[in-house]
Amino acid sequence: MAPLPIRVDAISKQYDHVVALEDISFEVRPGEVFAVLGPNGAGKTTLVRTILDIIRPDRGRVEVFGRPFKPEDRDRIGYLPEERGLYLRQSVSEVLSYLGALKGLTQRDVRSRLSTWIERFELGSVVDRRIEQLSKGNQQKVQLIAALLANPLILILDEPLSGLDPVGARLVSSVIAECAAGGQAVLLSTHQMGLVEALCGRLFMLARGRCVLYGEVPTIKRTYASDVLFVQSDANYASSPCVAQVESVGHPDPGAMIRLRDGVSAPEFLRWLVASGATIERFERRSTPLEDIFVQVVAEQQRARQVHT
Amino acid sequence: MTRRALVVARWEFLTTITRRAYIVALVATPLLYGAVLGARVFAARVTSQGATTQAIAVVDHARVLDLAFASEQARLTPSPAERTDAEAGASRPMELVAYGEEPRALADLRARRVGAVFVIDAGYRTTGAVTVYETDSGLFGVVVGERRRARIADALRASLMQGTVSGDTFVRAYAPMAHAKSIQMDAQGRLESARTGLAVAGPVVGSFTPFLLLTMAIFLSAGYLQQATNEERHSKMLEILVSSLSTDDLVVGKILGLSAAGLLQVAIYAGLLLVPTLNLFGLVGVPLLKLLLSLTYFAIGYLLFACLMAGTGMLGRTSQSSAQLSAIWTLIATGPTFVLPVLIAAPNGVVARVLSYIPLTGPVTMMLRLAVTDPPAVDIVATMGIGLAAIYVTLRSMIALSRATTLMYGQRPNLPQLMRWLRQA
Repeated sequence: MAPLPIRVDAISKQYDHVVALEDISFEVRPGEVFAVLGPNGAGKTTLVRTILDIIRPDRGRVEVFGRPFKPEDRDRIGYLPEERGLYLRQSVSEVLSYLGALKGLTQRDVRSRLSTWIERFELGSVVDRRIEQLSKGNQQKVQLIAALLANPLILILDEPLSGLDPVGARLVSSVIAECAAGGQAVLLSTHQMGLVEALCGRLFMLARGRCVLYGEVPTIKRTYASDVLFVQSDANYASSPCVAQVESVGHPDPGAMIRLRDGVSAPEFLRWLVASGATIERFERRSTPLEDIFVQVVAEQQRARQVHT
Repeated sequence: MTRRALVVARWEFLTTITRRAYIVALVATPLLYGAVLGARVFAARVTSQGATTQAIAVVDHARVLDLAFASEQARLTPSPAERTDAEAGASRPMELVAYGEEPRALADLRARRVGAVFVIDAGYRTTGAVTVYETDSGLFGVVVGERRRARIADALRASLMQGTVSGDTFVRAYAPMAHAKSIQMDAQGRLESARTGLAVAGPVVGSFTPFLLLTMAIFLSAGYLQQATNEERHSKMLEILVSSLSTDDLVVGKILGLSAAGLLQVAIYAGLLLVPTLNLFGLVGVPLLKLLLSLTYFAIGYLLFACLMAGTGMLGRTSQSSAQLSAIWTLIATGPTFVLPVLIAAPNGVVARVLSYIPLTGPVTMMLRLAVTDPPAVDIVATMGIGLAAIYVTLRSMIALSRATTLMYGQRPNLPQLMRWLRQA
């Protein structure tokens, strides 16, 4: 069995009197896009820096490819940090050639890979321009190319869609999906829940340095699924003994959001609906968006902290 | 050092020397210094020529002066004062003009037709009384005044001896040291003809050159080093870089690249200054061992200050605050020059030896000592060892600092944090 690209085992880190990470454990598998979520200040950046051996944990261990981090692992990890910048006075090709050389690539390798990525990210017209002359979105693409250039086995991307327009965001999303499909392990740190739902198989959520959610995205969504139904029909919902609350919605699809009374299941309500003789066009259980789960978990953590203090 | 450090060094070097600010500074600095130096030389020459060629009015109430005879003696046997006039570039010696009365002489002094008025008292032969009238020529007028007095003294000496002594006795009495020969004893007790003028200046200037280059290099490179590290910290590139190579390679590469950029500038200036004067100062006369030792101290001093400058760049919140912090190092680097007279007077004395053993002042002090004496071997060995150890400790500290400051964008560490990081290094 191939070693796991990343395995974090019970790590803790404290700055002065602030707990940045406490007993954090997870793993990232090859070929998956793994999300690390958390509110601002939750410890995500510290966690990523610990994986990259920029910070050493106080306790616990981080394994990369089945063993402790080695200097040569830097060539096998592509990193797009949250706090990012570029050399503004140099051209796109100069900066990328330099960063490629730092990853151990020869000039020949850099040239061939650069032309592929430049074409993929549609930067051919600006490749000889200075970075400061580029739009924010194009600068973001350059930074992504820097992370991808060495064809790393592990990709760590912190807010990769920042500054991109919808077309650019879709392009980058597809590149991330392709990387995972090609066997690369992608660790994605983002606040864009849509991206997580679209790309990630598993997620890990931090709050104040502690793990508050960890697992498969569909499982987590099922766990936090609500009892809200979306129904399109001509029935009079208010007359149903199953319904606790009805809210009409007009956009994008006209219909009703229905919350059932305690103890009533969705099949029971469906049976009532059929029996009422109504014409039913649509009947579905609405899953809770990841964003709502995120907000709910963070709110629970804050309440728990207030009670604790 | 790995290949990655060389990649960083190459990048830092090339990006620095292609900066507009670097190129402008490279071209503008020698032009500016050349213009200032040229203006100073021109002004000094004009002033000197004007002062030394202006006539001296003599009112001789004692009737002791024979000006024609005195002028003839000055031509035949130039006294030290007359030789100084010639070396100062005066086209002709100061002319002595006889005046019958003081009022006319003083009127000509007011009108600047003469440079000074010397009134020889009627009782001069018994009293020696002479009154001198001069205009206020400031600080530099003192030198010209001394030359005028020497010129009058020569004329009085020649005139007073006329008819009293003659022949060789007269010549010896008029200029007793005109043909003196100097013999110098070297450190090994060997005797050799004393070198004078440029023959003496050449080796001293040659020995001083590494010292001058070091201080110049520290001043020039300081800006690049602290500016580049500070900019990189604030451009948020550090985190990307430390995910690609070790902090050791990053810091070493940056110091090498930026130091090379600073040294290139120094080398160009040194070439511009020294190549035309190689023959003039006889730099080839500098003992090879001293030159090698001086260059070694140059390398030690430069690397030590380069590490400090790079670290200072990491500490400052802004380029300005880093520049202010780095001024501390440049001040310390040039510190020994503040006690230069003490170092030259006693190059192996207590002050010189104490400064030599302090890592920050050691290289500069040792280069100054090498320029003027032969320091004891124990001082050379010990100060080099201290210098190398200081470089190692400073480099390790800078690497620790770099690693820690990567995580502190926009913040300056407080003293306890700084001490903790340095202890960890």
